[in-house]
Amino acid sequence: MAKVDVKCFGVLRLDSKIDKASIEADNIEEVFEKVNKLIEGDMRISYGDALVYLNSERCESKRKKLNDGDQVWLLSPASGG
Amino acid sequence: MAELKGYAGKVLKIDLSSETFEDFPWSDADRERTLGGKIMAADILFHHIKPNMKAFDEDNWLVVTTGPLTGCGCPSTSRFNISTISPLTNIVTSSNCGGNFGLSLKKTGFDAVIITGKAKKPTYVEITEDNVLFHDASDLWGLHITPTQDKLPPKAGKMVIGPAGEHKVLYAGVFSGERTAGRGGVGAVFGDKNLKAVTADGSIKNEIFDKEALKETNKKWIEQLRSHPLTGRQMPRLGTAGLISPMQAHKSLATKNFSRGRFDDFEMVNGEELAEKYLVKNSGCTTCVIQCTRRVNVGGKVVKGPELETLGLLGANIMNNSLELINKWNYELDELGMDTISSAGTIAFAMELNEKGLWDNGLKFGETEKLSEVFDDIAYRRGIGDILADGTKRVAERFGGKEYAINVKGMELAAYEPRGAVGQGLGYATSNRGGCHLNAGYTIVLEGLGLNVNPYTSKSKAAINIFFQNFMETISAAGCCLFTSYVVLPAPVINKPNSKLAKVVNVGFIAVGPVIALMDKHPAIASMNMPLIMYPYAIKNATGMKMDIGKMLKIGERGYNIERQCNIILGQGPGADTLPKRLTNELQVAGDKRTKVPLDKMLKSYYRIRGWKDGMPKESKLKKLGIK
Repeated sequence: MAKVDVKCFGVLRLDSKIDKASIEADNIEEVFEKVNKLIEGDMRISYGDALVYLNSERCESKRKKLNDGDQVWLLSPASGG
Repeated sequence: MAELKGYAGKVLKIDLSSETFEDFPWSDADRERTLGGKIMAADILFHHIKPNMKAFDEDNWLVVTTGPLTGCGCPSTSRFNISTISPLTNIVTSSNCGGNFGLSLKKTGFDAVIITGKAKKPTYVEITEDNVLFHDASDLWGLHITPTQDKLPPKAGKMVIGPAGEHKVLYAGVFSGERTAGRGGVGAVFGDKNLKAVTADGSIKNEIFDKEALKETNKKWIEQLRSHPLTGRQMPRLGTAGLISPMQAHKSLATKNFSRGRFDDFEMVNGEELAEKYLVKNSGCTTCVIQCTRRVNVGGKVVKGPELETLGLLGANIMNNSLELINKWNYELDELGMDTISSAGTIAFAMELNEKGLWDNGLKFGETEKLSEVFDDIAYRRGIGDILADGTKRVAERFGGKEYAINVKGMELAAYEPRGAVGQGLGYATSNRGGCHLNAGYTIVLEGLGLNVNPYTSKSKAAINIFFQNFMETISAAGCCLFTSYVVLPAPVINKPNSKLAKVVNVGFIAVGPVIALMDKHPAIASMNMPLIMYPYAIKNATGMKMDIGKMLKIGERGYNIERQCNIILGQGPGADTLPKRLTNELQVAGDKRTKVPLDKMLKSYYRIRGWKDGMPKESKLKKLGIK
C-alpha cells in the first residue's frame, strides 16, 4: 500500500472535521474507505461526494493507483461572488 | 403613480446645485421594459448622457434604483443599485449594494432617486415621504464610514462616503451599513458633488398584487435557498471565502499579480482557516436567508470579515499569507471607503512594477507591514497614494507594464485568474462595466467551482456567457442578490459532484451550447416557468406583471445592450472588449497550451450571437430591442 497525504476542503472538511490525514491506500476508492474510518459519528463519504485532486491535478477515476508521497485533495463544490 | 403593484410608484430627482427636487416621469411601460435596478438606471442614463460627458461633470447623474421585489418580503432582496459615469473607466458603472438604503427609500414612496448637480459645500440629503432636506455636512466631512453613519438618524436608511470618496479616489465606494457599492468609483462621484450622505426614512408599505400567492412563493423560495447545498450550507458556513480552496485546485486563484493561478500558502488564507480560527459568527443583509457575511474580531471590535475577492487579492495576489492582516486591512479599507478589489489590484501591479524596476515605490510582494499606511495614503491622496488612487490603468500609462496591468476597460479584475477558466476570461473582457466577475456572467461557477464544465474549452462559452450575463442582469434589476441564482445549479449535482449525473450535466452544458445560443438570440423560446427558478413567480405575484424565463432573458438582453450603447455614446469603440496580454498571450502553466484565454476565437462567437459588430450592437439589434 502507498503512504499518501489526504486533505479535505470546504463543507466536507467542516462536516468530517478532518483537515488532513496520512493514510495507506492502493487507490482513490480506498482513500475514501480509510477517511471514513477516521470520521467520528455517522457521516460517510464516497467517491461521488467529492471532487478529487491527485498531486494537484483532477482525478476522475476511483481506481487510480497511488504511489508513496501522493497528495490527495477532497473538495466540495462552492460558490460565491 | 404606478398601476403595477410592488413598486413604490415614483422616482425622485434632486438637484444639488439649486437644492431643489421634483418627480421624474417614469411609467408602467418603463417598468415593464426595465423592471428596475441597473437596467432602469441604464435606461435613464441612456436618455441623458452626451458624448464626452465625464464622471466629474456637474451634469453627470447618480441614478440610485431599487427593484420591484425590494420591500416585498422576498428573500435576499434588500439590494439597491447606483449607476453613473465612472471616473475609473469613463464609461457607465453600475454598483450594487445590500444594507438598508434600498428598503428605506421605497418606504418613502420612491423606487429611485436621481442625484444631479453639485453642492456648493459638503451636504447631506435627507429624503422623507413628503420632503427633501439639504443639510450642511461640514461636521461629517472627514469622518470614516462608521462614525459618519453613527451621526445620522439611527432609524433612517443610509448611504455614505468616507475619506476616499471625499478625495475622489477613483475607486471609492458608497457604503450602507457594512455593505458597499464598491465598484467603479461611485463614491468619488459623491465626493465630487460634495455629497457626504443620503438618508431615507418613511413608513409607506408596498402594495402587493397577490399577497397570498406571493406569500406562498416566498415560502417555497426560502425553503429552496435554505435546503440548497450552496446557499443553505456552504455560504452560511464558509461565506464566499469558501471559494479560495476550489480556486487553488482549479488553478484560478490569482497569484502574484495574476502571473499564476496557485498560491503555495493558500491554506493560511482560505475560507476554512477563516471559519475555524477567526469567525465570530455569520450574518447577512436584511431579508437575507443565506447569511454569507463573516463577522470577525479586529482590534477588539466585531466587524465584517473579508469576502473572497479581498481574501484572494490581499492574500495570494500580493503573496501575503497573514489572514489576520487581511481581516485588519478589510476593515480599514471599508472605513476609509474604498473598493477592496481595485485597491488590492492596484497595489499588486505597483509591486510588480517595483520588482521589474519600472517604478521605485517601495512596495514588494510578501512585504506587507506598511500596507495600512499605504491604504491611508491612497484615501487621502498622499505621496505614492496619490498615484495609486487613480487605479491600475493610469499607473500603467505613467510607468509602463500595460501587458500585466490587470484591468479591463480601466477596472481591476476580481480574484479569479481566467487562464484557469477561459469562459470567465471572455466574461471579464465583454463585461460592460469593466473587469467585473459578476457583470461577466460569472461563468467560472460552472467551470470548476460549482459544476465542472471543461474550463479550458472555448466551445459554447460565448453562448453560456451571454445567457448568464442577460439572466443575472434581470435578477439584479428585480432587486435580488445574485447569490440567489445558485439554486439553479441542481442540488443533486452539487451534492454529488463526482457522480455519473454530474458528469452528464458537465458534458451536457457544452453539448447544448447551440441551444443556449438560440435562446440568447430568441429569448421568447424560453417562455416558460420552472419550479427551480422562482423569480418570475415572485415578480408576477408582487407586481401583476406577466413574467416568465423568456421575458426575463429579453429584459436582460435589452439591459445589457442599453448599457453597451451608453458606453458607446461615451466614446467606447472597437477593441474595448479585451484582456491584458498576460492572460491571452502567456501560458499560465509552461507547456500546457490550454492555459491561456483564446479570446479572439470566443469573441467572434460572442459578437455573432449578440448581434454586435466589433463590440457594438448593430442597428438591426437596437431596432429589435427598441433602443433609440
